[in-house]
Amino acid sequence: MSVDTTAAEQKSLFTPFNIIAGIILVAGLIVTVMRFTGGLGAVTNLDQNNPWGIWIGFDLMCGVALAAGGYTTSAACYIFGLKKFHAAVRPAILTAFLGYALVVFALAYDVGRPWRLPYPLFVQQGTTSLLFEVGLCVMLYLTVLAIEFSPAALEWLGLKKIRNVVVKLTLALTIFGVVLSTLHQSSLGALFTIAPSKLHPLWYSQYLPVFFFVSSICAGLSMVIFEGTLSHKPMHHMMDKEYLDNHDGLILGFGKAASIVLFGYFSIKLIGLAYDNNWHYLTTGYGAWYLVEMLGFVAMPSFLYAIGVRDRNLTVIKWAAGLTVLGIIVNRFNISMVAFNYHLDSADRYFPSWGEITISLFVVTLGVVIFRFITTRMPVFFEHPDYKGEH
Amino acid sequence: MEFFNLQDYYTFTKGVVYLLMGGILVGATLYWQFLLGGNKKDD
Repeated sequence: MSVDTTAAEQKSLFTPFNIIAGIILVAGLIVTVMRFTGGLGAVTNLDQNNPWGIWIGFDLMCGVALAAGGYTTSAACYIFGLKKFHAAVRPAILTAFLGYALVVFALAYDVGRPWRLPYPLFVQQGTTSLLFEVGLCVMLYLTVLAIEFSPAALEWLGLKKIRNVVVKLTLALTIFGVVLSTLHQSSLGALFTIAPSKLHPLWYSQYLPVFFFVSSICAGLSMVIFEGTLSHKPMHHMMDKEYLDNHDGLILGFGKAASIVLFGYFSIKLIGLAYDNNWHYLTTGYGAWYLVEMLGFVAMPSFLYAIGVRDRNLTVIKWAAGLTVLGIIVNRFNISMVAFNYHLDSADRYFPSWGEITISLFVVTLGVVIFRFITTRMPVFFEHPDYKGEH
Repeated sequence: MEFFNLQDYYTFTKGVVYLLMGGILVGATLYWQFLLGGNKKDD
């Protein structure tokens, strides 16, 4: 290697992305030390009224919902037979795997004592708890995702025999993944059905599990478009012809699906409102915010998707995907924080501390850095030359 | 709307839900038609 190339590599280390990511990671490590030496009180605004903050509302609730791209894409490709979406499966599975891995990682900050994480599953099972079901499903699904993604790592390492065995499990793993996702996506919503007096009636419903599951499909479809759009420019050199050729078709196909699923989600939310006869709350302040969520982050992206698909306008579809992703974050924030404990005085309400925000940024940045590390090395956006056309 | 017993309440809310369901069924069909319309080149 020439001296010039080495110099270019050294120079490339100090890109704006690396510098910002580096600062966030260092800040995150400092807060990590503070959290695990000083306890929750040292870095969070959590208290007896608000035991769950953004580490649960954002890192866990949003993380799990936005990682739904894995099961939606693999189900579209392997169960519904839409092989034209095959090139998008690996990036979606990787995003989902990293998403779930970081959910577990972030959970360790909230619950503490990370070495005791396996206890609820292997030592003292609380089988009547919804959290036990969520924990079990997340553990199993994370394992499924690791196995589903392993062919990419095995191809990279040149382990052909093991890779060929794992590839044969694809359909079974996909079915397992869909079943597990259905279970825990809905269980996260069911968690809030045990606190009917704490959650504002506009967001509380006995159908919360259904709302969470259906909205996770919208999140998954939109996240595949959103993540594909973000990756397109920086990772373009790693994308092969199949991926690039199918990219526009994937955006149109997923946009069409997201539009109709968002329409369905809006409809069932409306039915939930009617079933509990909560119309009169719509004229209150919380009602205005509820309408912003429903009209601005559900109805509008659904309509934008439809316009984009009709006019074959990819830019509109990409904006709709961004709006849907933001909408899912708004919804999960509303349920876990904004509309939760709504009856408390403003002095007792929760607002995240800088330490909590730093850790959430740290977790997201860690995900982006690992995603970049893996996609620049393993066959994610391209097919390995030794296995071309094997699907 | 004033309710005097649970029967009244459920008659009202279920009635609204049934009306909404009918509207959504028609709306979903129209929306699907709208979604599939437009410029169909290679779909």
